[in-house]
Amino acid sequence: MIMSTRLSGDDGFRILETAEIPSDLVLINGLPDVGLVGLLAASHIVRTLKLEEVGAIASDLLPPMIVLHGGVPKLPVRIFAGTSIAVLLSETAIPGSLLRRLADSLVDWSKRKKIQLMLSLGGMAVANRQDIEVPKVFAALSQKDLEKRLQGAAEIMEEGYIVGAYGLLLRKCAEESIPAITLLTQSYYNYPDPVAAASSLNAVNKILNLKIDVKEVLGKGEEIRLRSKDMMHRTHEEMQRMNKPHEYDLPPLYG
Amino acid sequence: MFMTANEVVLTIDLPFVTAKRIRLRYLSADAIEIYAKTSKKISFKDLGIKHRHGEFTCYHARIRVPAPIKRKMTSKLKRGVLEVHIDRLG
Repeated sequence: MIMSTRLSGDDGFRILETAEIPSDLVLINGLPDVGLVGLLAASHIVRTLKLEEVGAIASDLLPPMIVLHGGVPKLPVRIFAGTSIAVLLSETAIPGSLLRRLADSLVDWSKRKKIQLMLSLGGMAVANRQDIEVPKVFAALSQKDLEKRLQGAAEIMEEGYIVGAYGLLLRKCAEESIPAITLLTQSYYNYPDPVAAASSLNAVNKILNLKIDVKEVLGKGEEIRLRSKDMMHRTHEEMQRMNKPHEYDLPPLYG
Repeated sequence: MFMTANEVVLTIDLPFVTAKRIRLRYLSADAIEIYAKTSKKISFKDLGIKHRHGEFTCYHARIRVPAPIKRKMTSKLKRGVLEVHIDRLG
């Protein structure tokens, strides 16, 4: 049974806190996206740092589903936390039409929680992914002065489009003056990419001064790809609906 | 899957497959067949799933292509993803 001690959010999304979530955390987002990079990386962070489940996001707008873990029913979008890091991850593809409201609710909640940094992990599809041994990580920032926090972990993305939740979150965080970094790692578009997830984790390690071991992600790559096929398929359908391939385009303005 | 002026190019993710175990077959001007044996028997149980049963040892698909093709095709398996290049007709 899902017990909620606190509810927040009034935009169709409710953030349920089932345990105390400290303020001043770094919030890492791992939503299903290109190559499932963020979801794979965020799940690994939760497992490796042994983060506790502390909340979930509920909405009547989301598909009516629960996910069973250890025989216990859970909401598919959940929050895990330790003393300094929280991770939001979703085990369902969130329809594009709901992302704006989700982003607004999440940023409002983050502001109340005095989140010190929102770090969103995603993929950036590249046509020649097969030829890339170590995928490169790019960063989009909510404010210029965050560049020093990267510590060389990622190259700044100066121009381009970000379609989906991470674009909306970045914009909303910029409006609300919440420091936010979106890390986009070169990956396959519609195949789960654990190697890209490992690159993303290495960047997270540098930025947050962590030592998360990525060997397991690389070693279990084939199993992860197989297990994630269904999730990738659902995510791909949503990405096509929200015109995700727009990210390939070059912005027309120059100078 | 995408097209160039001369080719249809398609990619397929094939976990647990090595290059030697892949067979590609031209079916017609608009379709090919792929058969790939996995390096081990894969069962839902191995993946920690108890409510679904079954196991498999190969991937098999017939794929329709968006432009007429010739019989000639080349392929490479790199990092678990198969890339197939098929010459276009005309």
